[in-house]
Amino acid sequence: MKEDYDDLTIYHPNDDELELINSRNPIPLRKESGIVLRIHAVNREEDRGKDVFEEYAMERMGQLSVKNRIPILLAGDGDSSDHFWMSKNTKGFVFDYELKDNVLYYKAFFPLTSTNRPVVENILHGLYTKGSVGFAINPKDYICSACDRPIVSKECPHVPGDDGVFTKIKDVVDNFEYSLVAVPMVPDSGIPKQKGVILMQEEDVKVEENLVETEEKLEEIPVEKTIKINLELNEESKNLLASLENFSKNLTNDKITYDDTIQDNKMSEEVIEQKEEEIIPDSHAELMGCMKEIKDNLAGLHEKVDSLMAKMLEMESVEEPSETKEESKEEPEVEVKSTKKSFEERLNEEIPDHRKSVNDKLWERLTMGVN
Amino acid sequence: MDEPKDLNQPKEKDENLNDIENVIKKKKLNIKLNEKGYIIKKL
Repeated sequence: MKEDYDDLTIYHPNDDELELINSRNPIPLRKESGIVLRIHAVNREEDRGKDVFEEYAMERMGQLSVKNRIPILLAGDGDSSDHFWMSKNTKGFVFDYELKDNVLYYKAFFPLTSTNRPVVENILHGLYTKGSVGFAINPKDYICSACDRPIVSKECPHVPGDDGVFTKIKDVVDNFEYSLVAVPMVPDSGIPKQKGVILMQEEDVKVEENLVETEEKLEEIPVEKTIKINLELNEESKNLLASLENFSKNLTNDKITYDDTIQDNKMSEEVIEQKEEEIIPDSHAELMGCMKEIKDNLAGLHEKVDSLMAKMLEMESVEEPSETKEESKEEPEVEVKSTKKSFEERLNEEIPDHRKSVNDKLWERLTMGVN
Repeated sequence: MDEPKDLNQPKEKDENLNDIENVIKKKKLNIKLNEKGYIIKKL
C-alpha cells in the first residue's frame, strides 16, 4: 500500500490552497496534513431527475460551498442512506471552487488522519468516485421548462420527464453538503482523474495564453520588415560560416605546429643521448688513467718507505756492538730514538707532500674533464 | 438569502406549503420541503 502513496505529493495543497484551508481551520495545518482533490459537483446537462442548473445557480452553489465550508460526507455502517447528515460521516471539506466549461468544481481538503486514511485510500483507488450535491431551492426558482412557471405551482400542469419537459434551477438559497454515493443523479458528478484534470488544464491555459501573445506579436510585424530581418539574418549566417571556416583552418595549423614540436623534442632527446654516449666513455677512460697514476705513485711511496725502513735497520745493526758499557748502552738508544724521530718526521713531511701532489694532479684531471 | 415571500406570513405560509405539498404528491416529484418551505435537493 505504501508505494501507492508515493504519488500523494502531487495532491498535497500548494501554498495558496494551504492559506485558504488554514484561514478557517482551528489550527494551522502543514501541507502533509492532507490532500486536495478536485470534485466535479454539477454541470449544465440534464440529470437523471430531469433537472438542469442555470449558470447563475451554479455560481451561487460555488459561493455557498465556500461560505459554508460544506462537508464531504460518506454514510457509515448503520446509516439508512447516503446524504446522512452526521458529523462522524464527514471526511473532508470544500475550501474553494471553480466554474469552467459549464462545470462547477469544488476543491476539497481530505485530512490524512488515522481514521480518515482508509477513506482516502478508497477514494484514490477508485472505490468512492461518485458524489452528489445537497442544497436548497426556493420553490419560485424551480421552473418548468415548458411554461416557465414554478413546477410546484398549481398553475403549471407539466410533469418533468413528460414530452421532454425538464426543470430549471435558476437559483439556490443554501448549499449543505456533498456526499459520496454509489449512483448520483448527475452522472458525471464525483472525483475525476486528478492529474489530467487539474494540472493539464492549468498548463493548457498557460500554453494557450502564450500562443495568443505570440500570434499577436507576429501580426504586429509588417511583411517588409520580416523580409528585411530575414535578409539580415542570411547575411549574418554567411559571416558566421566564414568565421567558422577560418577557425577550422587555424585549428589545422595549430595541429601541424604541435606535431612539429613533438618531432623536435624527439630529435633533441636523440642528440642528448648521442652526446652522453660520446662524453661518458672519455670521462671513464680519463678517470681510469688517474687511478692508474695514483696506484703507481702509491707503489713508489711504498718503495721509499721500504728503503727507509731498510736504512733504519741498517743503522740499528751498526750501533749494537757498544752495548757492553752502561753509558754507551743508553746513547745508541737516544740516537735510535732520534733516528726514529727523524724518520717519522721525514715520513710525515714527504708523504703529505706526495699525497698533495697526487691529489692536485687528480683534481686537475677531473676538472679538465668536466670543463 | 431571500426568504420566500409566501412563507413570511404564517397563514399564507401554511396555505402555500399545503399547496406545494399537494402538487408534489400529484406530480410524484422526488423532492421534499424543509420547515422553511425550501425544496431540499439531493442530486
